[in-house]
Amino acid sequence: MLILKGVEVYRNEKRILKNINLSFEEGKFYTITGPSGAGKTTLGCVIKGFIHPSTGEIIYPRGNVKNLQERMGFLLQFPERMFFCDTVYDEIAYGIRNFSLPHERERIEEVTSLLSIPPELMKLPPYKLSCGEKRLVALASVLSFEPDWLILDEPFSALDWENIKKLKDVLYILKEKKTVILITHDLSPVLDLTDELVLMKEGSVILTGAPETIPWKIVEESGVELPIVPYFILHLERHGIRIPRSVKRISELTEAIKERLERRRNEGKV
Amino acid sequence: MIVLRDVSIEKNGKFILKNVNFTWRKGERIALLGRNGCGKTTLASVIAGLIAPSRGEVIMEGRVGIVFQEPETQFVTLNCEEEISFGLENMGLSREEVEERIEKVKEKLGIEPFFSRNPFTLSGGELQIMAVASILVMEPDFLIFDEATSFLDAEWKRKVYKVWEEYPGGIMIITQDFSEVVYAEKVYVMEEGKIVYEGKTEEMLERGLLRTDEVLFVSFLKEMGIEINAWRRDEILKGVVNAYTQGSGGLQK
Repeated sequence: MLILKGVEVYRNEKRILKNINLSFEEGKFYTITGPSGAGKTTLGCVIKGFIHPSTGEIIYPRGNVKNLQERMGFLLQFPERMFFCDTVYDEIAYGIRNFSLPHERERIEEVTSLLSIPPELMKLPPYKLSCGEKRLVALASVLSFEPDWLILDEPFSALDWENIKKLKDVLYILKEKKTVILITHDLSPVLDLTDELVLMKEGSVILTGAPETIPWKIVEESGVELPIVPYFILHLERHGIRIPRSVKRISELTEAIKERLERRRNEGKV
Repeated sequence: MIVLRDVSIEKNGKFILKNVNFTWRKGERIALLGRNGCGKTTLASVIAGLIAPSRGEVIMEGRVGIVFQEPETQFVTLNCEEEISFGLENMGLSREEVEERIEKVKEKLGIEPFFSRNPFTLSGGELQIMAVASILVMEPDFLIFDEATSFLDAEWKRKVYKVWEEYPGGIMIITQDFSEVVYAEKVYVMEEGKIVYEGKTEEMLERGLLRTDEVLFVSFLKEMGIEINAWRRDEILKGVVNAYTQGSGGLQK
Protein backbone atom coordinates (compact mmCIF):
# COMPACT_ATOMS: atom_id res chain seq x y z
CA MET A 1 0.00 0.00 0.00
CA LEU A 2 1.14 3.54 -0.81
CA ILE A 3 -0.14 6.25 1.52
CA LEU A 4 -0.31 9.99 0.92
CA LYS A 5 -0.68 11.83 4.19
CA GLY A 6 -1.53 15.53 4.30
CA VAL A 7 0.20 16.16 0.98
CA GLU A 8 0.28 19.75 -0.24
CA VAL A 9 2.06 21.28 -3.22
CA TYR A 10 2.70 24.98 -3.67
CA ARG A 11 3.75 26.67 -6.88
CA ASN A 12 4.47 30.39 -6.84
CA GLU A 13 2.70 30.65 -3.48
CA LYS A 14 -0.40 29.07 -4.95
CA ARG A 15 -1.63 25.85 -3.39
CA ILE A 16 -1.92 23.33 -6.26
CA LEU A 17 -2.68 20.37 -4.00
CA LYS A 18 -4.53 20.79 -0.73
CA ASN A 19 -4.27 18.31 2.13
CA ILE A 20 -4.39 15.09 0.10
CA ASN A 21 -4.98 11.95 2.14
CA LEU A 22 -5.21 8.85 -0.01
CA SER A 23 -4.08 5.27 0.07
CA PHE A 24 -3.45 3.06 -2.93
CA GLU A 25 -3.61 -0.69 -2.48
CA GLU A 26 -1.54 -2.99 -4.63
CA GLY A 27 -3.42 -4.69 -7.45
CA LYS A 28 -6.29 -2.22 -7.61
CA PHE A 29 -7.35 -0.01 -10.49
CA TYR A 30 -7.73 3.64 -9.48
CA THR A 31 -9.22 6.36 -11.66
CA ILE A 32 -8.48 9.96 -10.79
CA THR A 33 -10.91 12.35 -12.42
CA GLY A 34 -11.95 15.97 -12.16
CA PRO A 35 -12.30 19.09 -14.28
CA SER A 36 -9.35 20.74 -16.08
CA GLY A 37 -6.88 22.30 -13.67
CA ALA A 38 -8.08 20.25 -10.67
CA GLY A 39 -4.55 19.03 -9.91
CA LYS A 40 -4.87 15.51 -11.36
CA THR A 41 -1.56 15.55 -13.23
CA THR A 42 0.24 17.17 -10.28
CA LEU A 43 -1.06 14.40 -8.02
CA GLY A 44 0.19 11.80 -10.50
CA CYS A 45 3.60 13.51 -10.50
CA VAL A 46 3.69 13.46 -6.67
CA ILE A 47 2.91 9.73 -6.60
CA LYS A 48 5.64 9.08 -9.14
CA GLY A 49 8.09 11.30 -7.24
CA PHE A 50 8.52 13.86 -10.05
CA ILE A 51 7.25 16.55 -7.68
CA HIS A 52 8.07 16.59 -3.97
CA PRO A 53 5.26 17.65 -1.69
CA SER A 54 5.77 21.01 0.04
CA THR A 55 4.24 19.50 3.17
CA GLY A 56 2.95 16.04 4.07
CA GLU A 57 4.49 12.69 3.31
CA ILE A 58 4.34 9.62 1.11
CA ILE A 59 4.61 6.37 2.99
CA TYR A 60 5.30 2.90 1.62
CA PRO A 61 5.23 0.54 4.60
CA ARG A 62 6.57 -2.42 2.61
CA GLY A 63 9.83 -0.77 1.61
CA ASN A 64 11.67 2.22 0.29
CA VAL A 65 9.30 4.65 -1.41
CA LYS A 66 12.04 5.94 -3.74
CA ASN A 67 12.73 2.45 -5.07
CA LEU A 68 9.03 1.96 -5.67
CA GLN A 69 8.70 5.31 -7.45
CA GLU A 70 11.69 4.57 -9.65
CA ARG A 71 10.04 1.40 -10.86
CA MET A 72 6.67 3.04 -11.56
CA GLY A 73 5.73 3.47 -15.20
CA PHE A 74 4.37 6.92 -16.03
CA LEU A 75 2.62 7.72 -19.31
CA LEU A 76 2.60 11.49 -19.70
CA GLN A 77 -0.36 13.41 -21.03
CA PHE A 78 1.66 14.69 -23.98
CA PRO A 79 3.72 11.71 -25.18
CA GLU A 80 5.83 13.83 -27.51
CA ARG A 81 7.46 15.27 -24.38
CA MET A 82 8.77 11.78 -23.61
CA PHE A 83 10.52 11.08 -26.88
CA PHE A 84 14.21 11.63 -27.33
CA CYS A 85 15.45 8.64 -29.34
CA ASP A 86 15.94 8.54 -33.11
CA THR A 87 13.69 5.55 -33.74
CA VAL A 88 10.54 4.07 -32.30
CA TYR A 89 12.49 0.87 -31.55
CA ASP A 90 15.09 2.67 -29.44
CA GLU A 91 12.38 4.62 -27.71
CA ILE A 92 10.62 1.45 -26.62
CA ALA A 93 13.94 -0.22 -25.75
CA TYR A 94 15.10 2.68 -23.58
CA GLY A 95 13.49 1.52 -20.32
CA ILE A 96 14.76 -2.04 -20.81
CA ARG A 97 18.33 -0.80 -21.33
CA ASN A 98 18.04 1.71 -18.48
CA PHE A 99 17.11 -1.02 -16.02
CA SER A 100 19.60 -3.46 -17.64
CA LEU A 101 16.86 -6.02 -18.23
CA PRO A 102 17.52 -9.13 -20.32
CA HIS A 103 15.78 -10.30 -23.50
CA GLU A 104 15.35 -6.88 -25.10
CA ARG A 105 14.07 -8.14 -28.44
CA GLU A 106 11.55 -10.55 -26.93
CA ARG A 107 10.22 -7.92 -24.55
CA ILE A 108 9.78 -5.43 -27.38
CA GLU A 109 8.04 -7.99 -29.56
CA GLU A 110 5.71 -8.88 -26.72
CA VAL A 111 4.75 -5.32 -25.93
CA THR A 112 4.36 -4.20 -29.56
CA SER A 113 2.15 -7.17 -30.32
CA LEU A 114 0.09 -6.49 -27.18
CA LEU A 115 -0.53 -2.95 -28.42
CA SER A 116 -0.65 -3.96 -32.13
CA ILE A 117 2.06 -1.51 -33.12
CA PRO A 118 2.89 -2.35 -36.74
CA PRO A 119 6.53 -3.40 -37.35
CA GLU A 120 6.95 -0.80 -40.10
CA LEU A 121 6.77 1.96 -37.49
CA MET A 122 9.79 0.65 -35.59
CA LYS A 123 12.42 2.33 -37.76
CA LEU A 124 10.68 5.70 -37.95
CA PRO A 125 11.56 8.69 -35.80
CA PRO A 126 8.82 8.88 -33.13
CA TYR A 127 7.97 12.52 -33.84
CA LYS A 128 6.88 11.52 -37.34
CA LEU A 129 4.01 9.42 -36.03
CA SER A 130 0.40 10.53 -35.80
CA CYS A 131 -0.88 11.66 -32.44
CA GLY A 132 -2.58 8.33 -31.67
CA GLU A 133 0.44 6.29 -32.77
CA LYS A 134 2.70 8.39 -30.55
CA ARG A 135 0.49 7.57 -27.61
CA LEU A 136 0.71 3.81 -28.22
CA VAL A 137 4.49 3.98 -28.65
CA ALA A 138 4.80 6.00 -25.43
CA LEU A 139 2.73 3.38 -23.63
CA ALA A 140 4.88 0.60 -25.13
CA SER A 141 8.02 2.31 -23.84
CA VAL A 142 6.46 2.41 -20.37
CA LEU A 143 5.27 -1.21 -20.44
CA SER A 144 8.51 -2.60 -21.86
CA PHE A 145 10.34 -2.48 -18.52
CA GLU A 146 7.41 -4.25 -16.84
CA PRO A 147 6.62 -1.86 -14.00
CA ASP A 148 4.31 -3.16 -11.26
CA TRP A 149 2.74 0.26 -10.81
CA LEU A 150 1.43 2.26 -13.74
CA ILE A 151 0.35 5.88 -13.81
CA LEU A 152 -1.43 6.76 -17.05
CA ASP A 153 -2.26 10.41 -17.66
CA GLU A 154 -5.14 10.80 -20.15
CA PRO A 155 -4.16 7.71 -22.15
CA PHE A 156 -7.33 7.73 -24.25
CA SER A 157 -7.29 11.24 -25.65
CA ALA A 158 -6.43 11.45 -29.34
CA LEU A 159 -7.09 7.72 -29.83
CA ASP A 160 -9.64 6.58 -32.40
CA TRP A 161 -12.42 4.24 -31.32
CA GLU A 162 -10.60 1.11 -32.44
CA ASN A 163 -7.49 2.11 -30.54
CA ILE A 164 -9.61 3.00 -27.52
CA LYS A 165 -11.10 -0.48 -27.63
CA LYS A 166 -7.63 -1.98 -28.06
CA LEU A 167 -6.25 0.01 -25.13
CA LYS A 168 -9.22 -0.98 -22.99
CA ASP A 169 -8.54 -4.65 -23.73
CA VAL A 170 -4.89 -4.10 -22.80
CA LEU A 171 -5.91 -2.41 -19.55
CA TYR A 172 -8.11 -5.41 -18.68
CA ILE A 173 -5.03 -7.61 -19.05
CA LEU A 174 -2.79 -5.23 -17.08
CA LYS A 175 -5.39 -4.85 -14.35
CA GLU A 176 -4.90 -8.50 -13.45
CA LYS A 177 -1.20 -8.03 -12.76
CA LYS A 178 -0.56 -4.43 -11.83
CA THR A 179 -1.59 -1.48 -9.74
CA VAL A 180 -2.99 1.10 -12.14
CA ILE A 181 -3.61 4.78 -11.44
CA LEU A 182 -5.35 6.29 -14.44
CA ILE A 183 -5.93 10.02 -14.77
CA THR A 184 -8.75 11.13 -17.03
CA HIS A 185 -11.39 13.81 -17.51
CA ASP A 186 -13.49 11.35 -19.54
CA LEU A 187 -14.89 8.48 -17.49
CA SER A 188 -16.68 6.68 -20.32
CA PRO A 189 -13.92 4.28 -21.38
CA VAL A 190 -12.74 3.41 -17.84
CA LEU A 191 -15.84 3.04 -15.73
CA ASP A 192 -16.00 -0.77 -16.08
CA LEU A 193 -12.31 -1.07 -15.22
CA THR A 194 -12.31 1.13 -12.15
CA ASP A 195 -12.18 -0.31 -8.62
CA GLU A 196 -12.01 3.06 -6.98
CA LEU A 197 -12.76 6.52 -8.26
CA VAL A 198 -11.00 9.62 -6.90
CA LEU A 199 -12.71 12.93 -7.73
CA MET A 200 -10.63 16.11 -7.54
CA LYS A 201 -11.54 19.75 -7.76
CA GLU A 202 -9.42 22.85 -7.22
CA GLY A 203 -6.54 20.89 -5.73
CA SER A 204 -8.59 18.84 -3.26
CA VAL A 205 -9.94 15.30 -3.27
CA ILE A 206 -13.68 15.78 -2.86
CA LEU A 207 -14.84 12.19 -3.21
CA THR A 208 -13.53 8.62 -3.30
CA GLY A 209 -15.42 5.38 -3.71
CA ALA A 210 -16.37 2.48 -5.93
CA PRO A 211 -18.29 3.43 -9.10
CA GLU A 212 -21.33 1.51 -7.78
CA THR A 213 -21.63 3.76 -4.75
CA ILE A 214 -20.38 7.11 -6.01
CA PRO A 215 -22.94 9.98 -5.94
CA TRP A 216 -23.04 10.92 -9.62
CA LYS A 217 -24.63 14.25 -8.88
CA ILE A 218 -21.44 15.47 -7.20
CA VAL A 219 -19.31 14.15 -10.05
CA GLU A 220 -21.42 16.00 -12.60
CA GLU A 221 -21.50 19.19 -10.56
CA SER A 222 -17.71 19.16 -10.40
CA GLY A 223 -17.65 19.66 -14.18
CA VAL A 224 -16.92 16.08 -15.24
CA GLU A 225 -19.07 14.71 -18.05
CA LEU A 226 -20.84 11.54 -16.92
CA PRO A 227 -20.79 8.35 -18.97
CA ILE A 228 -24.12 7.77 -20.68
CA VAL A 229 -25.64 5.26 -18.21
CA PRO A 230 -24.97 7.24 -14.99
CA TYR A 231 -26.10 10.39 -16.83
CA PHE A 232 -29.52 8.90 -17.58
CA ILE A 233 -29.86 7.26 -14.15
CA LEU A 234 -29.23 10.64 -12.51
CA HIS A 235 -31.36 12.76 -14.81
CA LEU A 236 -34.29 10.36 -15.15
CA GLU A 237 -34.48 10.19 -11.38
CA ARG A 238 -34.92 13.97 -11.33
CA HIS A 239 -38.06 13.39 -13.39
CA GLY A 240 -39.30 10.69 -11.05
CA ILE A 241 -38.12 7.76 -13.18
CA ARG A 242 -36.03 5.56 -10.92
CA ILE A 243 -33.50 3.25 -12.53
CA PRO A 244 -31.63 0.80 -10.25
CA ARG A 245 -27.95 1.64 -9.62
CA SER A 246 -27.02 -1.89 -10.64
CA VAL A 247 -27.75 -0.98 -14.28
CA LYS A 248 -24.42 -0.73 -16.13
CA ARG A 249 -25.02 -1.24 -19.83
CA ILE A 250 -27.06 0.75 -22.35
CA SER A 251 -29.15 -2.36 -23.09
CA GLU A 252 -29.94 -2.76 -19.36
CA LEU A 253 -30.83 0.92 -19.16
CA THR A 254 -33.30 0.54 -22.03
CA GLU A 255 -34.80 -2.55 -20.40
CA ALA A 256 -35.21 -0.70 -17.11
CA ILE A 257 -36.93 2.23 -18.85
CA LYS A 258 -39.27 -0.18 -20.62
CA GLU A 259 -40.08 -1.88 -17.34
CA ARG A 260 -40.83 1.48 -15.68
CA LEU A 261 -43.10 2.51 -18.57
CA GLU A 262 -45.03 -0.75 -18.42
CA ARG A 263 -45.45 -0.52 -14.69
CA ARG A 264 -46.75 3.02 -15.00
CA ARG A 265 -49.24 1.95 -17.61
CA ASN A 266 -50.41 -1.01 -15.53
CA GLU A 267 -50.95 1.34 -12.64
CA GLY A 268 -53.24 3.25 -14.95
CA LYS A 269 -51.32 6.50 -14.64
CA VAL A 270 -51.17 7.17 -18.37
CA MET B 1 -14.65 28.96 -50.58
CA ILE B 2 -11.89 26.40 -50.43
CA VAL B 3 -11.47 23.89 -53.22
CA LEU B 4 -9.04 20.98 -53.44
CA ARG B 5 -8.72 19.34 -56.85
CA ASP B 6 -7.00 15.97 -57.15
CA VAL B 7 -4.67 16.80 -54.30
CA SER B 8 -2.02 14.22 -53.50
CA ILE B 9 0.92 14.24 -51.15
CA GLU B 10 3.61 11.69 -51.67
CA LYS B 11 6.49 11.06 -49.31
CA ASN B 12 9.15 8.42 -50.01
CA GLY B 13 6.91 6.68 -52.50
CA LYS B 14 4.00 6.53 -50.05
CA PHE B 15 0.78 8.49 -50.49
CA ILE B 16 -0.19 10.49 -47.41
CA LEU B 17 -3.05 12.03 -49.37
CA LYS B 18 -4.38 10.52 -52.56
CA ASN B 19 -6.53 12.32 -55.15
CA VAL B 20 -8.52 14.32 -52.66
CA ASN B 21 -11.36 16.38 -54.11
CA PHE B 22 -13.06 18.58 -51.62
CA THR B 23 -15.10 21.78 -51.50
CA TRP B 24 -15.72 23.79 -48.35
CA ARG B 25 -18.19 26.62 -48.67
CA LYS B 26 -18.23 29.70 -46.54
CA GLY B 27 -20.24 29.23 -43.35
CA GLU B 28 -20.43 25.45 -43.84
CA ARG B 29 -19.93 23.29 -40.74
CA ILE B 30 -18.28 20.00 -41.53
CA ALA B 31 -16.80 17.08 -39.60
CA LEU B 32 -13.77 15.09 -40.71
CA LEU B 33 -13.47 11.59 -39.26
CA GLY B 34 -11.02 8.77 -39.63
CA ARG B 35 -8.66 6.51 -37.74
CA ASN B 36 -5.33 7.62 -36.25
CA GLY B 37 -2.78 8.21 -38.97
CA CYS B 38 -5.21 8.27 -41.91
CA GLY B 39 -4.20 11.77 -43.05
CA LYS B 40 -6.74 14.09 -41.39
CA THR B 41 -4.13 16.47 -39.95
CA THR B 42 -2.23 16.49 -43.25
CA LEU B 43 -5.43 17.35 -45.14
CA ALA B 44 -6.17 20.13 -42.62
CA SER B 45 -2.64 21.48 -43.08
CA VAL B 46 -3.11 21.55 -46.87
CA ILE B 47 -6.41 23.38 -46.47
CA ALA B 48 -4.74 25.89 -44.14
CA GLY B 49 -1.94 26.40 -46.67
CA LEU B 50 0.72 25.03 -44.34
CA ILE B 51 1.72 22.16 -46.63
CA ALA B 52 1.89 22.37 -50.41
CA PRO B 53 0.55 19.30 -52.22
CA SER B 54 2.85 17.22 -54.41
CA ARG B 55 0.13 17.18 -57.07
CA GLY B 56 -3.19 18.87 -57.60
CA GLU B 57 -4.58 22.31 -56.99
CA VAL B 58 -5.73 24.22 -53.91
CA ILE B 59 -7.96 27.27 -54.31
CA MET B 60 -8.28 29.37 -51.16
CA GLU B 61 -10.67 32.25 -50.89
CA GLY B 62 -10.49 33.51 -47.33
CA ARG B 63 -8.30 33.08 -44.29
CA VAL B 64 -8.03 29.71 -42.56
CA GLY B 65 -7.22 29.23 -38.87
CA ILE B 66 -6.28 25.89 -37.36
CA VAL B 67 -6.27 24.77 -33.74
CA PHE B 68 -3.83 21.90 -33.53
CA GLN B 69 -4.34 18.69 -31.59
CA GLU B 70 -1.11 19.17 -29.67
CA PRO B 71 -1.79 22.59 -28.18
CA GLU B 72 1.69 23.32 -26.91
CA THR B 73 3.19 23.14 -30.39
CA GLN B 74 1.25 26.28 -31.10
CA PHE B 75 2.68 28.53 -28.38
CA VAL B 76 5.62 30.82 -28.97
CA THR B 77 5.60 33.28 -26.06
CA LEU B 78 5.78 32.88 -22.27
CA ASN B 79 2.57 34.69 -21.44
CA CYS B 80 -0.98 33.81 -22.46
CA GLU B 81 -1.97 37.39 -23.10
CA GLU B 82 1.00 37.95 -25.41
CA GLU B 83 0.18 34.67 -27.07
CA ILE B 84 -3.33 35.83 -27.87
CA SER B 85 -2.34 39.29 -29.04
CA PHE B 86 0.59 37.94 -31.07
CA GLY B 87 -1.57 36.82 -33.97
CA LEU B 88 -3.65 39.98 -33.92
CA GLU B 89 -0.64 42.27 -33.99
CA ASN B 90 0.69 40.31 -36.93
CA MET B 91 -2.58 41.04 -38.69
CA GLY B 92 -1.86 44.77 -38.28
CA LEU B 93 -4.95 45.58 -36.20
CA SER B 94 -5.18 48.77 -34.13
CA ARG B 95 -4.53 48.60 -30.37
CA GLU B 96 -8.21 49.24 -29.64
CA GLU B 97 -9.37 46.50 -31.92
CA VAL B 98 -6.82 44.06 -30.45
CA GLU B 99 -8.10 44.80 -26.95
CA GLU B 100 -11.73 44.58 -27.98
CA ARG B 101 -11.24 41.18 -29.59
CA ILE B 102 -9.30 39.86 -26.60
CA GLU B 103 -12.05 40.92 -24.21
CA LYS B 104 -14.63 39.19 -26.38
CA VAL B 105 -12.76 35.88 -26.53
CA LYS B 106 -11.93 35.99 -22.79
CA GLU B 107 -15.60 36.28 -21.98
CA LYS B 108 -16.71 33.70 -24.51
CA LEU B 109 -14.29 30.99 -23.34
CA GLY B 110 -13.91 31.92 -19.67
CA ILE B 111 -10.12 32.05 -19.74
CA GLU B 112 -9.70 35.10 -17.50
CA PRO B 113 -8.34 33.15 -14.46
CA PHE B 114 -5.12 32.09 -16.16
CA PHE B 115 -4.75 34.82 -18.72
CA SER B 116 -1.52 36.23 -17.28
CA ARG B 117 0.11 32.82 -16.73
CA ASN B 118 2.93 31.22 -18.66
CA PRO B 119 1.30 28.80 -21.13
CA PHE B 120 3.84 26.12 -20.20
CA THR B 121 2.55 26.02 -16.61
CA LEU B 122 -1.06 25.39 -17.66
CA SER B 123 -2.83 22.05 -17.33
CA GLY B 124 -3.65 20.08 -20.48
CA GLY B 125 -7.21 21.39 -20.62
CA GLU B 126 -6.23 25.00 -19.89
CA LEU B 127 -3.56 24.82 -22.57
CA GLN B 128 -6.04 23.50 -25.10
CA ILE B 129 -8.68 26.16 -24.44
CA MET B 130 -5.93 28.77 -24.72
CA ALA B 131 -4.98 27.35 -28.12
CA VAL B 132 -8.64 27.66 -29.18
CA ALA B 133 -8.72 31.26 -27.94
CA SER B 134 -5.55 32.23 -29.77
CA ILE B 135 -7.01 31.16 -33.12
CA LEU B 136 -10.63 32.18 -32.51
CA VAL B 137 -9.53 35.73 -31.71
CA MET B 138 -8.21 36.12 -35.27
CA GLU B 139 -11.72 35.50 -36.60
CA PRO B 140 -10.67 33.54 -39.69
CA ASP B 141 -13.19 32.80 -42.45
CA PHE B 142 -12.60 29.08 -41.99
CA LEU B 143 -11.77 27.57 -38.62
CA ILE B 144 -10.36 24.06 -38.24
CA PHE B 145 -10.46 22.27 -34.87
CA ASP B 146 -8.04 19.35 -35.11
CA GLU B 147 -9.08 17.12 -32.19
CA ALA B 148 -9.06 20.31 -30.19
CA THR B 149 -11.43 19.17 -27.44
CA SER B 150 -9.60 16.00 -26.40
CA PHE B 151 -8.31 17.45 -23.10
CA LEU B 152 -11.27 19.69 -22.27
CA ASP B 153 -13.65 19.02 -19.39
CA ALA B 154 -17.43 19.20 -19.76
CA GLU B 155 -17.72 22.89 -19.04
CA TRP B 156 -15.12 23.96 -21.57
CA LYS B 157 -16.42 21.54 -24.13
CA ARG B 158 -19.81 23.24 -23.86
CA LYS B 159 -18.13 26.59 -24.52
CA VAL B 160 -16.37 25.27 -27.60
CA TYR B 161 -19.61 23.63 -28.82
CA LYS B 162 -21.29 27.02 -28.51
CA VAL B 163 -18.58 28.50 -30.73
CA TRP B 164 -19.28 25.75 -33.26
CA GLU B 165 -22.95 26.60 -33.23
CA GLU B 166 -22.60 30.36 -33.45
CA TYR B 167 -19.47 31.05 -35.46
CA PRO B 168 -20.39 32.84 -38.69
CA GLY B 169 -17.51 31.38 -40.71
CA GLY B 170 -16.86 27.80 -41.79
CA ILE B 171 -16.10 25.26 -39.08
CA MET B 172 -14.28 21.97 -39.57
CA ILE B 173 -14.44 19.54 -36.67
CA ILE B 174 -11.79 16.83 -36.75
CA THR B 175 -12.65 14.46 -33.95
CA GLN B 176 -12.52 10.95 -32.54
CA ASP B 177 -15.58 11.66 -30.41
CA PHE B 178 -18.44 10.84 -32.76
CA SER B 179 -20.97 12.55 -30.50
CA GLU B 180 -19.44 15.84 -31.69
CA VAL B 181 -20.55 15.34 -35.30
CA VAL B 182 -24.01 16.65 -34.40
CA TYR B 183 -22.49 20.14 -34.65
CA ALA B 184 -21.69 19.60 -38.32
CA GLU B 185 -24.08 19.53 -41.28
CA LYS B 186 -21.88 17.25 -43.30
CA VAL B 187 -19.44 14.46 -42.51
CA TYR B 188 -16.35 13.34 -44.42
CA VAL B 189 -14.64 10.06 -43.60
CA MET B 190 -11.01 9.42 -44.50
CA GLU B 191 -9.13 6.16 -44.88
CA GLU B 192 -5.50 5.81 -45.86
CA GLY B 193 -5.20 9.29 -47.33
CA LYS B 194 -8.46 9.22 -49.26
CA ILE B 195 -11.91 10.61 -48.62
CA VAL B 196 -13.98 7.44 -48.72
CA TYR B 197 -17.35 8.79 -47.66
CA GLU B 198 -19.19 12.06 -47.54
CA GLY B 199 -22.76 12.58 -46.46
CA LYS B 200 -25.22 14.54 -44.44
CA THR B 201 -24.76 14.12 -40.69
CA GLU B 202 -28.43 13.44 -40.08
CA GLU B 203 -28.44 10.64 -42.65
CA MET B 204 -25.33 9.01 -41.21
CA LEU B 205 -26.78 9.06 -37.71
CA GLU B 206 -30.13 7.69 -38.86
CA ARG B 207 -28.47 4.87 -40.74
CA GLY B 208 -26.40 4.01 -37.66
CA LEU B 209 -23.13 4.63 -39.49
CA LEU B 210 -21.72 6.53 -36.54
CA ARG B 211 -21.82 4.42 -33.42
CA THR B 212 -21.91 6.72 -30.43
CA ASP B 213 -23.36 5.64 -27.10
CA GLU B 214 -26.23 8.03 -27.82
CA VAL B 215 -26.92 6.46 -31.23
CA LEU B 216 -26.91 3.02 -29.67
CA PHE B 217 -29.31 4.13 -26.93
CA VAL B 218 -31.69 5.75 -29.44
CA SER B 219 -31.67 2.58 -31.54
CA PHE B 220 -32.47 0.42 -28.48
CA LEU B 221 -35.28 2.79 -27.50
CA LYS B 222 -36.64 2.58 -31.02
CA GLU B 223 -36.68 -1.22 -30.84
CA MET B 224 -38.99 -0.98 -27.88
CA GLY B 225 -41.22 1.51 -29.60
CA ILE B 226 -39.94 4.84 -28.27
CA GLU B 227 -39.08 6.90 -31.32
CA ILE B 228 -36.76 9.76 -30.46
CA ASN B 229 -35.42 11.91 -33.24
CA ALA B 230 -32.44 13.33 -31.44
CA TRP B 231 -28.78 12.53 -30.96
CA ARG B 232 -27.88 14.82 -28.10
CA ARG B 233 -28.23 13.61 -24.52
CA ASP B 234 -30.40 16.48 -23.28
CA GLU B 235 -32.79 16.00 -26.20
CA ILE B 236 -32.91 12.22 -25.77
CA LEU B 237 -33.67 12.76 -22.08
CA LYS B 238 -36.57 15.04 -23.00
CA GLY B 239 -37.90 12.36 -25.36
CA VAL B 240 -37.75 9.62 -22.70
CA VAL B 241 -39.41 11.82 -20.10
CA ASN B 242 -42.16 12.72 -22.59
CA ALA B 243 -42.76 9.08 -23.40
CA TYR B 244 -43.02 8.38 -19.68
CA THR B 245 -45.38 11.20 -18.77
CA GLN B 246 -47.57 10.88 -21.85
CA GLY B 247 -47.34 7.14 -22.08
CA SER B 248 -46.47 7.32 -25.76
CA GLY B 249 -44.44 4.49 -27.18
CA GLY B 250 -42.73 1.73 -25.34
CA LEU B 251 -45.62 -0.69 -25.31
CA GLN B 252 -46.57 -1.32 -28.91
CA LYS B 253 -45.65 -4.75 -30.04
